[in-house]
Amino acid sequence: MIPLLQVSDLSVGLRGGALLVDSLAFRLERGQRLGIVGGSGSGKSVTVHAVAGLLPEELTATGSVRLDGQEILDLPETERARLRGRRIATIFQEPMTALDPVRRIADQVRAPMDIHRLGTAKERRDKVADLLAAVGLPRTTFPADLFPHELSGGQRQRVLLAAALAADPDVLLADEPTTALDLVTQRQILDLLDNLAERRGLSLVMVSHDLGVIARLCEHVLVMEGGRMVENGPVAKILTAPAHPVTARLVGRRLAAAPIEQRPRHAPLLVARGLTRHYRLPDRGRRVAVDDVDLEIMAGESVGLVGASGSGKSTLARLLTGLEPPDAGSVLLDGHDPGRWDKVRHSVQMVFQDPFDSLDPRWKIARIVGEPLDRDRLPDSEHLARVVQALREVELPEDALRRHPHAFSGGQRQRIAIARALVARPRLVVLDEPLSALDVVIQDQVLALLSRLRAAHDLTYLLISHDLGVVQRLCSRVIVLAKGQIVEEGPVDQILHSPRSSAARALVDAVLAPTVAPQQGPDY
Amino acid sequence: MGATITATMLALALLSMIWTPYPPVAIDIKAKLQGPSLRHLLGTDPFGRDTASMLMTGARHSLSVATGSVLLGAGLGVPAGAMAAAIGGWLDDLVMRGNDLLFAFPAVLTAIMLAAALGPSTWTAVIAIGLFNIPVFARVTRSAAVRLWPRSFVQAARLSGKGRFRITVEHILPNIIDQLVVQVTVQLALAILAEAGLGYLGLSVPPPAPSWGKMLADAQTFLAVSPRLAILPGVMVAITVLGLNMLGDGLRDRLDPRLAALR
Amino acid sequence: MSRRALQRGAVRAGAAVLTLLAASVLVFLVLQVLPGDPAAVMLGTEARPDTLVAMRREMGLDEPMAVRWWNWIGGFVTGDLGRSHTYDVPVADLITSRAEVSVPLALMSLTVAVGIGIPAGLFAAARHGRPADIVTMAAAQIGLSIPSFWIGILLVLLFTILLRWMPAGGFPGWEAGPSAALASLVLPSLALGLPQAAVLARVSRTAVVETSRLDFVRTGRAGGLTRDQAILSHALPNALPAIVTVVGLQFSFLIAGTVLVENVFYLPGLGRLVFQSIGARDLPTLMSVIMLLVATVVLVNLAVDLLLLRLDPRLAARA
Repeated sequence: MIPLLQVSDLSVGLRGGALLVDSLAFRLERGQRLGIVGGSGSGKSVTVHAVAGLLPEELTATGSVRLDGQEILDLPETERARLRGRRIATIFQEPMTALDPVRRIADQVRAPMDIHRLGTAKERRDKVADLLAAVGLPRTTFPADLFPHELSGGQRQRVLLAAALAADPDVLLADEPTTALDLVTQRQILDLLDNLAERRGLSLVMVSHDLGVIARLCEHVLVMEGGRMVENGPVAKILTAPAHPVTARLVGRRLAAAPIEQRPRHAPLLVARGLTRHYRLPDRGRRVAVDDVDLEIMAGESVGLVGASGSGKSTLARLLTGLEPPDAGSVLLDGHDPGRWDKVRHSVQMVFQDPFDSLDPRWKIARIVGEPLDRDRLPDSEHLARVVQALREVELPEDALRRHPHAFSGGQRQRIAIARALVARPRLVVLDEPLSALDVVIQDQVLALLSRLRAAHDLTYLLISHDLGVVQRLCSRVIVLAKGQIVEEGPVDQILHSPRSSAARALVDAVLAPTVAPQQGPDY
Repeated sequence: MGATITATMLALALLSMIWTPYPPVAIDIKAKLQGPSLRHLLGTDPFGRDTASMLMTGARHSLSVATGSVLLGAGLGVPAGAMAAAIGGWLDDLVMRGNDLLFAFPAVLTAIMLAAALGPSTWTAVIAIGLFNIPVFARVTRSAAVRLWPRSFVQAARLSGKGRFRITVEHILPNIIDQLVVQVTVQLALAILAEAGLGYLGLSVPPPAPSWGKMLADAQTFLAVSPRLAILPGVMVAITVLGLNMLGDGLRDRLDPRLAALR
Repeated sequence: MSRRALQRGAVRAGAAVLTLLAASVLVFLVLQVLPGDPAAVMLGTEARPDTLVAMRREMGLDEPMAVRWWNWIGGFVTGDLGRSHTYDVPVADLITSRAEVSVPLALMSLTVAVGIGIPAGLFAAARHGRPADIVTMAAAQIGLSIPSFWIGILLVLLFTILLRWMPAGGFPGWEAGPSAALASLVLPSLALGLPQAAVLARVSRTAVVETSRLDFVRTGRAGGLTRDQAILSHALPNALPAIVTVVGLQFSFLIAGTVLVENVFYLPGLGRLVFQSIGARDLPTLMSVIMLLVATVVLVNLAVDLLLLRLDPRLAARA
């Protein structure tokens, strides 16, 4: 039997340059689901673009891509366009930017039907309503005349999914469709994809860096590294007996969790009372971002602050560090008022989410790491000694001092950011999603570093995250935030195994362990 | 290329301060309206003044008015924009409303008003064009700075206990200086064009000092007799502006390779 | 338009009114410090002191500044602009007759700028990086560097002196028939419009090339559009706000340019009127024309902002 999609000897490269995909081959039967997994730069996304016929002009593809036995790789653009949407649909990673901001969502869902001239105007309109309802955006709550900016990231990905299905394609290529979403939303979108593919008999190629995501949906997986396939087989087999080191690394993540011993002491380092902060919104008047929050962090403790995106956790962090003034309430650090923090300013430092954003590109590393000491006017030699020491703590070579941030990778930059937080010898370090921008292998290394530093310097951590899996590895106590309020608080294990609030339950459910059968629950 | 043209013009202008083939204001009626020759490389005007010398002196006036007006515009606009971004709130509103107000006055109209009030002079031209430059620099600075403030490295600086002024000096301005330099070249080019326009209306340097715009105005009377006089000063303006624009594009490409791909 | 957009529009219109008031104060103050007594200019140097005083009273120059500003701006709103000192006709009539030249000139120049600039920009964007793009952009680069009044002089040189196709300037008046009147505005509007067309070509090319790299253009292609179709139906609509913004800004340059170009072509328009009334110290005329031009710039920018609210639904939502 002819497979629905057959890719053989596919290579993609810059004209006369390096190959991004090298002699790749796979086949997809009708109704089958194939996962492609790999780290960044493995060529998995380029593969999707090549199959969809959406490669940027500077890339050329050679080899063969057959759809129902017909060669499509070298078709001219107009004929290729006739297949896109109609036979092969594609959804991408960035739902925030993938919708045209000046067009209503209904028009964008209808577009593939308009382009391929399917059905009458009325049939198209009806189908748009059906599709939007099918992806969980019923007309009653989501009128079709909404614009993309009026929707959240998860909702936009639903719209994109509806648009991808509008012309009843045979195969759906999904390029990291959930990576940009928070874990709860990610879980919902995956369920939806699963459901829709099942009901419509859709064939699926799912690309992700996260084996957990692939395992949730696909029966077969292909592992890529450096543009080549390094391993492939049934998901169950790959998970239990990975043959290639790359696969093993992707599987091994999350399994290395070592429970951390905590020594909570009973002197509160930071006390917040009645913290409230609201933002002015264009339409609905004011939105409360943080609502009457009481909070204590003991010296030496590590507290996780979790919640879905929009729950107010980042705003709370900014209030606690004094970066933003509260509308009501107070924060006392070591008994000091935030307005007069100058004396204790060094006691709180922060590590930010995006390491590509947190280092001034104009400054050299020596100056960046030393910045928290600038106001102390230390003698030059002492200043330098502190900087060198901090850099050593995060295991970066001393010659890093004379370079600019652009010379470093994401993981290295995060280490530099940690060194900057350490140099002032703080007592409380606020970690704002410090791992979410890093790839899985680097995440492990940074986690290990953070827990070693805590032991060495007697640090107190407040870790902000939407991922309970990460929180579990670093913290003993968890605070769950929803809609700006604390809805649950307690030891990590308790919240993981018997969450009481719906917000906590959603977060627990969202932790996708790379196991074959999702009904087994998270594997800790 | 852009840099070469700009440097050449600058050299000509500087040279005119110490040497020109003839004194640019020397009238020699016997030698009026001569074509190019070895004695007068680019010929003479109806008063027998040496065109090449006048063009060189014109370059000096043009460039100094342009430079002065851009310095004025950047000198007031950059701090205003940086402050608006750093402090926000009412100050931001005030600066932006002031901007809108200045924007409503086209440079030539401002110059006409000022020339009426102060009399035509180099300073009138500098102030008129400079006033027009203030909101441009304020806007560019503010919008670039506003994008920087929420970034994590600026937040980290705040956690280091630094104030808004110090952060502006240490982090914000160094990160937008590139954009400002590009803007300076663009505004210099526009200022050269504006100065030529004012000169044409007789609102720039007062006579007898030559300016490119005024030379064009004078040449219009003799257009049929001596088109050369109407072409040369315009060519000078166009080449200078072209050089500055190319310099700006080149700088922009070097600073932002992503934009270079767009070009 | 959504309620929110209407609200934003109303706020923007309010701001425009405030800007106009502030501008009127500015115009008034700057022109009040004009050296030279308009009364003395009118009566000549031989005037007797008592005639001068009487003249000043008649012209309203003896009242306090605030009162004079209020009278002026009140008259401005109701259309009573006072009498021109030099022409001895109502300023309103003077402005109307001059606007008959300047308004068609401005509109024709804008047509030249938009009609040449935007298509050229789109053409270059569609052939991005190929020879046609490079040639178009080189032409735009040169067009950008040429002062409009010099283009005017060159056009006169070419069409009047060398080819003898057109008169050197002047305006026959609309009585001479629309075709003769329009013909006399062709060269001036080319001179004024061409440099702006160059600006617009560059801006629209960059905007379209930039938006055509955004994710949603790829989404459109994934739905079945070809590359060129995706540019027209997704990249262009999203580039439009940037292009419209620039067209609005250009209006200010066009107004400034009319002063110059009307001088080159001896056109009896508003720009020339401004210029002439300085020499004559014709204060009522000068203030009113400048205020009118400034008001036009402010109102055009307001119109552009309102149009942007329609073109980009996100603007209305932004606080």
